[in-house]
Amino acid sequence: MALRRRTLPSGFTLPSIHSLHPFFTHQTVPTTLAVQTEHWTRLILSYARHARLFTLGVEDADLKTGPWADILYNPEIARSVKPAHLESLIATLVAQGKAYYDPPKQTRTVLLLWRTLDEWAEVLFTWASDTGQLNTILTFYEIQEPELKSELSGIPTPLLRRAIQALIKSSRAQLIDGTEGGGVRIFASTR
Amino acid sequence: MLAWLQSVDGSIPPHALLVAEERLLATQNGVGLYDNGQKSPNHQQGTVHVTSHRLLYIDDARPELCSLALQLSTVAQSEYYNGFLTSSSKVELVLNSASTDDDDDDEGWTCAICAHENPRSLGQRRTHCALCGAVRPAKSTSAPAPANELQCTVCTFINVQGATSCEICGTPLPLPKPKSIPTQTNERQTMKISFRKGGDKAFYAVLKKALQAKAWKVTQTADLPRAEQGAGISGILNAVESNTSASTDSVASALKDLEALTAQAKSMVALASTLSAKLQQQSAQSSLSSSPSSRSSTPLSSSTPTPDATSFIQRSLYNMGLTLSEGPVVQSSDSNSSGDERRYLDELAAEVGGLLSDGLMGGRGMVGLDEIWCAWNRARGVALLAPETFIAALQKAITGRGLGLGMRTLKSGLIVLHEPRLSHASFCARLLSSTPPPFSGTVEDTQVWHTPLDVAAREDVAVALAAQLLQAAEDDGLLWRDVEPFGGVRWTRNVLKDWTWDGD
Repeated sequence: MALRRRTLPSGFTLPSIHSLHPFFTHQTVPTTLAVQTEHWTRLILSYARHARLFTLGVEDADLKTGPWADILYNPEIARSVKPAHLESLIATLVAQGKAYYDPPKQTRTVLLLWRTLDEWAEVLFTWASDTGQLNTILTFYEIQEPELKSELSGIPTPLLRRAIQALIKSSRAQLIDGTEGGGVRIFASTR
Repeated sequence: MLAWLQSVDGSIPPHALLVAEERLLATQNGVGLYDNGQKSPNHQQGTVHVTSHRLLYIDDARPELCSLALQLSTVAQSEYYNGFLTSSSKVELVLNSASTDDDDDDEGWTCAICAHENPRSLGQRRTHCALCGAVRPAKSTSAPAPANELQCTVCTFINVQGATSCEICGTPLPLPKPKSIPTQTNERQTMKISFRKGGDKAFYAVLKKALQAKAWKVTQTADLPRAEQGAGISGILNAVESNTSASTDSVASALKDLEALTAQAKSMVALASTLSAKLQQQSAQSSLSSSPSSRSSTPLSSSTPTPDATSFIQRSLYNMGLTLSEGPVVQSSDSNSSGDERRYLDELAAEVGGLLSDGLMGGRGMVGLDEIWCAWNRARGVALLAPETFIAALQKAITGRGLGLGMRTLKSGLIVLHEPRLSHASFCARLLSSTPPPFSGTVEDTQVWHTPLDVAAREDVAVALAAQLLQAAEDDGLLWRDVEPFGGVRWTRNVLKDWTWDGD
């Protein structure tokens, strides 16, 4: 395998296919397109996990310096993903349940689910129990910006709400509505 | 001696001597010319043509040297003398010598603005280009135009002849000084045409008519509206539009003719089918009537010619290219007529096979069926073939005659005839053999690009066809495409199938 894999300064290793020109062209033949799309969605999700990116928008295709530029643009071969191509990739991600449109009723911006909602719920519960914050009321801000960096640092509020909903479903949490933002109380496991 | 007449090269047929709007009206041989009452020795045996603009004398003995042309516009007066005893009848023309030295005869010229080639014309010379209306430049034979005439008085820019205001600064230009009018000589010249072989009366009548019609003035007035179209782009557009509508009209009338012809062909088919129906009826009757009477000799002789006649009619119909779509002849598909049809197809297949092996492919590897169809029909002249018949015959020729050619339908729906090397399988094999196997080198080595242009050069096919061949290979998943930033598309070996994820 002599094709060069490129390792980004951030430590992420791009697949060798990323340095092939046609990878950045929206293929027209259905079978080829299916494989190409599969690789792209995998790349997007693994990079998002690596760089802790939660949102992806069609506009990112045009940004040569944005958070997504490292994978959507390859300066070595002067190729970038076209917005229309990215939009169809986003649609595929949504169809596979790996993302959902946020805000809803548009198709240009998505929240990526590189962890499923149940996984996020589990992460939240583990974090709360590890830091000894069970049965106390936590504000969203305390979860999103803890003093010690955690898995949940920077998680967008809509995603956090959904994760809490998943915990509520297994009756391990309670949502408390407040005037400012609101909070959540996570109970010790009832299992 | 007849010096005021222009000499022409009489070895050229008179029709070729005519200019754009000139028409040949009458011709009379066996004539001689008189100059001011004297016999002109060099012009005693010749042919005279009268056109709408000129009188042409073509000498029989030395046409290239002694032939003459006379502008009818210079004729002031004409008179007719009846022949008497040995004197043959004559036509006398009184000429205005003054106007002859004017450069009436207008050589063709090319417009400096739009490069339209204005044809040579008689009568008054055109002053404006027929297409764009730009003013005609002064004759190139005269010395370069005096510069000060059109030099702008303000910015000293030297303008084109005929400009009314300066092209640079817009200052109105001084009008060029009018040419000095040549002093008119009132001297009158006469010439006579002596008709030694008769035909004088008819010829004089035509000449008289031509003189009265004054065609040289008519063309001038016909030119007027064109001059009113004005110069510039709109003038050109108007001229082009009127030309287009004229050609549309002529095409429409031609198509009308064609429709009439088709209608005739339909009635021909109808006639042929009724004929064959009658023949079949007759044969049925004759076999009925002959069988009871005598079984020895008559049945054979009376019934055998009829199928022949039927098939003859069908054959001739096929030869004319008129196929019977719903006619009873094909409907009654007895063994005879279907056999004829088969043979017809066989012969067509032989014909097209011959054409193909005679180099209709022209050394190219791949040719569209439309091209072959056109070429074949052109070769067949009037017996045109319907596309269905053509495809049927072609298929027969390919399968049955071993031409070494294949037929394939491209992605766009175009059906092409191709050499075996350009079949899908062998084309793809060759394409990939020129590409190193995937992941064997650096990125640059792995990606050998195929563009329609270099495939066309390598495989000796048209560029559009090469693009379709590449697309066919792409459809099979063998290639994938790269759209370059400026829109060009190129293909390379599709590595997706053999590639496994090697990133994080």
